[in-house]
Amino acid sequence: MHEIKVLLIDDEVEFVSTLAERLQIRGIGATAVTSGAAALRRIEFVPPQVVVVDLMMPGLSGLDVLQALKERHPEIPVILLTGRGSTKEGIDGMRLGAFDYMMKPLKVEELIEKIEEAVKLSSKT
Amino acid sequence: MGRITAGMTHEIKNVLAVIKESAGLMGDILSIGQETPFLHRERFMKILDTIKEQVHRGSELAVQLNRFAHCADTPFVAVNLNELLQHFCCLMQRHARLKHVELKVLPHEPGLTVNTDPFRLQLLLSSCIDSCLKQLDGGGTIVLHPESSKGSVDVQIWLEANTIQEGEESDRAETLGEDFSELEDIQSHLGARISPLRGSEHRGFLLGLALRK
Repeated sequence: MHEIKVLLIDDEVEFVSTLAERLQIRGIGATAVTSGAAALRRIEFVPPQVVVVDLMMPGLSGLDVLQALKERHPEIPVILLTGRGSTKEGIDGMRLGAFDYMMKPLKVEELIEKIEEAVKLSSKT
Repeated sequence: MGRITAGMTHEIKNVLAVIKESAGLMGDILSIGQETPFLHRERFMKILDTIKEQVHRGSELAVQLNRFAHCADTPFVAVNLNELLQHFCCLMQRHARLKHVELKVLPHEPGLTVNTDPFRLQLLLSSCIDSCLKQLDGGGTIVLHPESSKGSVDVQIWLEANTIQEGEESDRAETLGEDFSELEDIQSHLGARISPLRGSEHRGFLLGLALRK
């Protein structure tokens, strides 16, 4: 199976770079960016198969990125990350078309499962 | 205050997420190089497990704190009492543990929902717990149990002291009654009343908290 291309977006640079490295060790082609604007620029040139984005970011929030992607690249599934205790933001995101949401701190294996599910589903549609 | 605290819990979760991923990466690197002899590998792995456990613990605490912070967002909302009491016990657990007291919820079946102010309700509950703790010098258990009665919903709070002298219960119940006079405003805001609850099958004290449905 070919390497899955994932774009990780989170303003916590230590978090997103470490997570990218952990995914790379497990054979996922993960790239990390630290802002929604940088992510949207990159996606125009190097579209990933899955986007994993934090909801709470300065500038463009995770929901802003999700909405922009739904307009420009509806074929790319988006997984939302939330650090909040409540699931409300995640559910709101799913109403806006997110594939799923996950709570921080993450379990890397669960994230990989979710990424693989998203790729499977998007390849069917 | 609620909004600020909720924001801080978000930051705490971010910090924990960084620690967790960093510990995870360290574990990954140690696993990759298993063929290379490394004297302290097992010790490192054990320490990483401890870090992961503590991150999990910290994360659960942040979730509870976040929930508490958000409870001040809306003055009156539908509250599931079983859930609120479980959450409240988590918040008060350390406070009680210092006095060797365990907090337990005896949930209502199938569950009760009331329209109330969750923040102020928890203020009342914490005053009740504080009063109860004063009576439990020798340690014990405080049980919280929601129950429906005619036109109201009660939260019963009773003590199960590890040691209790005969005749001591009624004296202590009077003392408990006095402790709540300062909470009249909150009680009237919620339409609640706190009174000693007597004639119960349970040993120790009972505090009834009546609420409008």
